[in-house]
Amino acid sequence: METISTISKVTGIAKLNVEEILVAVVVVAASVLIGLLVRRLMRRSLSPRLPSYVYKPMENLVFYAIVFFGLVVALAPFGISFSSLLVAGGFAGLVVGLASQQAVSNLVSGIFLLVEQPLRIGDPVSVGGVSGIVSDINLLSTKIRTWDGYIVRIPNSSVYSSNITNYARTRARRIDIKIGVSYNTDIDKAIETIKKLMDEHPFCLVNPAPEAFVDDYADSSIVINARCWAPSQVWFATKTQLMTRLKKALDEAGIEIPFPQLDLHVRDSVELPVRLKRD
Amino acid sequence: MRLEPVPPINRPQRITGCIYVELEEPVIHPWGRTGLWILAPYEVAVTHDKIVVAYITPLPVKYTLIGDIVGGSVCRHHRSSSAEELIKLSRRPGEAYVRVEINGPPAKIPGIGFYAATLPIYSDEGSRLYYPLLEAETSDVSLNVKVTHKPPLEGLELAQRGRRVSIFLPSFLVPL
Repeated sequence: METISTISKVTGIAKLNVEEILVAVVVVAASVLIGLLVRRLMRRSLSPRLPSYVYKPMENLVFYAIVFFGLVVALAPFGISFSSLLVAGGFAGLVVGLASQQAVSNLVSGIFLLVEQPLRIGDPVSVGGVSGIVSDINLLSTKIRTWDGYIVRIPNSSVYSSNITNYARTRARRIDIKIGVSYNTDIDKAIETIKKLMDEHPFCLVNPAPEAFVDDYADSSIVINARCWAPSQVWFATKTQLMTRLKKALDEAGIEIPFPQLDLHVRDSVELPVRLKRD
Repeated sequence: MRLEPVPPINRPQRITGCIYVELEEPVIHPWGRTGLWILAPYEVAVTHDKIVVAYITPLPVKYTLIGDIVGGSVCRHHRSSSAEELIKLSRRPGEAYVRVEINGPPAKIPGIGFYAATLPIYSDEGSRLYYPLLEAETSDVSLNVKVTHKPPLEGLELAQRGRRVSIFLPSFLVPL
């Protein structure tokens, strides 16, 4: 009872009784449960029809709206109106903002991320050195599932201020493969073999056209650069297939990929005594 | 088991719904309305109890990018000659006829692209296959190709029933 009278003095609410408090708590709890139920129903009906980056923010928005409505309804019997909440909220917001700048920064950055959408749920991205698939974007943080299966949680303020490389936003990406061939190789034959392989692969796009050209004269080999563009969805699979098939195709064409080599030339003539021993 | 012709967008895996037919020689479209015939590929769906078991592609598969890397489209690619009369086209196995009616200002047309994912396919008595009629509109910078669900000739039968997912039929922009 002392607690209730203390609360009454601090909040300025004239009358507080146990029943009203219990009803308020029940209303808030019910609104949370209803929000969770509605969110689950929305996910079931929307997930087959819409991409995840569309329906997940919608679910979260509806959930928070229902909980907020529940709070307003719960506080109404105490004479706390929405407008007084806004006024109190403004002041409280100033206090909270000063006390938790990082959280507010993450929240604001999260809103900007949802509006600007430099990355969406399901996109393959690289953010601040973390690469993987975006698995969730919340108000405070973004979760990325790395290529090897770890979940990395990044505060939204870090995401928003980092360089974001989104690998899904372009229709096609370029594959670059450097192949070192022996200096004895027939270059035209090597280039023709590589080009033929890329022309036969379905996902090496016709336009932009594949290319193969001498890129460098290295210490042990002539470096040929094989380039082609592949649809973003199958970029990695195309690259790994090309890497495997290129070796086989070059082997079949008799084109050597040499080990590192060193030619040693002795310029000065040196007498080298040799003794032959008979057993 | 049934075999039915379907648009060629399933092999090696489905990544697009459009076909781009590159013309062996670009066509010059004069003022007014003209029409031409081209050839586009199709695949064969092997179905059992209405479930697709496999897709067979009679022709080599290639894809191409139409437009720029960010806003363009990756489409199934095919090269074809064109003719004003159907009889002048020599068709290979795996190719279906496409009738395109072009309207608008003069333009040099390098190819025809269209969204084929939901289109029906028709056949005639000789088992030749046809895509629905395409209607194209030229402008200074692009060719806007719209699909219809109308057969290009009279007397054709439905070989494969397409799916109409919207009252609005999709259109495809080919940069000129």
